[in-house]
Amino acid sequence: MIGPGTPSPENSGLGIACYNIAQHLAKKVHLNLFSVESADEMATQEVENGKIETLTREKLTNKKQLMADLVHISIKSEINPYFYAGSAKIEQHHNEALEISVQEALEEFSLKIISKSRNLAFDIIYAHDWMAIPASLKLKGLSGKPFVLQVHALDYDRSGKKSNSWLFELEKEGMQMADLVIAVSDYHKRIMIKAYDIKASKIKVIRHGLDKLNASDYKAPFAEDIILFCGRLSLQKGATTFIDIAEALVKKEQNIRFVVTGQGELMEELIGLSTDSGLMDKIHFTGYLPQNDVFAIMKASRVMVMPSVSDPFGLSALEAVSLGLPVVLSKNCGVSEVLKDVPQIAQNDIDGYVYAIREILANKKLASKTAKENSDSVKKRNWEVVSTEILSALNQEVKNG
Amino acid sequence: MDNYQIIHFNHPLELNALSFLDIGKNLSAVDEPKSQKKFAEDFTQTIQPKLKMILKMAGENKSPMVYFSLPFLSFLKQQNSNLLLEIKKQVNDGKIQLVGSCAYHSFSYLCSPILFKKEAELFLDGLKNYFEKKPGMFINTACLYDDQVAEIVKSLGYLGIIATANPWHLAGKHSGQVYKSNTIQPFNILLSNGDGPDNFQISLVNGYGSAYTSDFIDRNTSNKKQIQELFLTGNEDEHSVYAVSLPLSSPSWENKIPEYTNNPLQKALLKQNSALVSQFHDQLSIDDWKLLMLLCQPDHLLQINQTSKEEGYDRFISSMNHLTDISLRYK
Repeated sequence: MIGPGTPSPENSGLGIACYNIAQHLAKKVHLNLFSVESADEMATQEVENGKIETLTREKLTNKKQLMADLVHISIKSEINPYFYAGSAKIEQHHNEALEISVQEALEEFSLKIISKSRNLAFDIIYAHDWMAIPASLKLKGLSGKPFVLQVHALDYDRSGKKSNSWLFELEKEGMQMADLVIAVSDYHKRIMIKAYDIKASKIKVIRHGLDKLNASDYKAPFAEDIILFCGRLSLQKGATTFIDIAEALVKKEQNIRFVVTGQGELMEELIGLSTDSGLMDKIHFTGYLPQNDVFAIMKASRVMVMPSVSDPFGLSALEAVSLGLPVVLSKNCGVSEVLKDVPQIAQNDIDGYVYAIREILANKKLASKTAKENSDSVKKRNWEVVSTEILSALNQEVKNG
Repeated sequence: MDNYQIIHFNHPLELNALSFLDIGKNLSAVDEPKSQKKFAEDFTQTIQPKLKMILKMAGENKSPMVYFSLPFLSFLKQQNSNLLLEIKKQVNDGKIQLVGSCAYHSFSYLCSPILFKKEAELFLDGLKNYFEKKPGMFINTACLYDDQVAEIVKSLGYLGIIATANPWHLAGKHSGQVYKSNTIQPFNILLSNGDGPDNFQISLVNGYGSAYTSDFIDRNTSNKKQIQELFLTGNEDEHSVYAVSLPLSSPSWENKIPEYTNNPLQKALLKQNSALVSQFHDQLSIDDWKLLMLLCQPDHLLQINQTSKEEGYDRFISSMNHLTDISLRYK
């Protein structure tokens, strides 16, 4: 398995999903995990059960002892699944240099995986997202083993459109060359077909699941209802749209506060927008918080809004729902496929979001009932179920040769 | 040539990081142990020699002019009360001239005139715990000056104020000459620097914990004439008006003012702080006033802008959480 490593503020949902999948798969197969993240906690667990060997960044950089720290920083900052910058033009210029360095770091990462796996016996290559594609393609070429690519997010989602970037081409090549592509929703499968021209027959949809969530002990000190945004502060997640929604909503509802959890490249821009809109006494930016703190805020909130430009799945909405929190989603969220009676709004329809949020605030009992039904429903699909489906798909590919 | 120097002693106070989930729990805002530890670490090598030099100058009748922030005096008392006692004696004997300023050497004026006035008042009140004499003249942090600063400082009973010269339209104005402020009740001003060669110079020096670029205390500088006497010379009607509508800061200060104010995070913090002061100024406790001032400490504002982005964000978020924490206490 070639994945992003342990969950971190940088890889957010992708990291959480891969971590859970790896944990459950490792109970059933011998899993060799290749990751750019140094995963101390995971490595300890893995030594105990003896099933996973982690190729950590320390190992990746052992060759250059003197330069080790420098390389750590370099790889950490450059191989980041969400390295897309904000909308500011100044950032775009910066990206040109960044792209080149990302490509170089990616090449180095891939070469090291090939080198480390030279004497490794394996049956299948199971890779996650673009970072894993170059190494997977080379491994497939060398070994002739089947290659399964699970796609959690695409360049299309992150940039909000079909682009002609090297990443888009890399993803397209990866999906074309893969023996099987695992999509996390039908919504995303359609993007793969339409934007990337991938055959529908080679795409299997396996949606994410949830294990029991542990929330910190927390009682909000506010008298007002909390409207929550939870996710990376990026264009993809519709973070600026959330500020527009907040600005429109406060004109109609007084007894509310907004909480923005997470961090990301738009942090400064969002704070500037909030200040200019006179929202700063109503909006709270929490920065990065541990997962159990985020769950605590979810429990204390009244509505969570996910105005994503394109969200292949949207794990945080599933988490919110499982905690009984009503959600309002954009129409571009894969998670809606597993939820019932959840408002879905066209991404830029600010009035639509405002109306949906106000409806929930005005009908708290009904909203809670719907949330409870969804909560019961989503709890049935845990990571064990998801990993079993993935393993079944992997086994099938091994059989197919 | 008449040379004067105003030596600044401050000790910035560290604030505890406050998570969003800790809002409303009435946790302590100031990290006293960390701040005290830093003071203790710097005391022997850095602080003590400077204070001893001040005492020596006092002993030589050079009348050193000194500003002590309240945190500095508090930590000095804990660290070496005998040294503070010696300073106190020299102040009370008139051999060290105290200069007034803000209690926490903060940029409260950049946030809100109300906050600034309160901080200047707190300074005068706090100083009574250490000295019998009160300062006759005032210098704002970074020598920030405009007409409104003069108005506020005059209302606090000071004899005069040290101001930064406006380099654009001094039109022959030079330091050493007393000017009138552009206020309803004229107030005496001395410029810390002029626009040309003259025979009067006020150097602004960092003794400890301030951001004046020079930390060189010139032992030979003798403030033979008590500086407030300068304000009392001449006919007030003859003084020309020095009008400054926007704040000017000292060129001797390490950073330009926009570095403390122009980043969106800094703007948001100052704006929200100001809004809170406007809304609750008649209800705020002394501790909350203090916290609002500490959020305007130069180091604190600068760290939001100049440390790594992540650290800057964390500091900003924590600062805003402190503001929310305060606001909840009065709602």
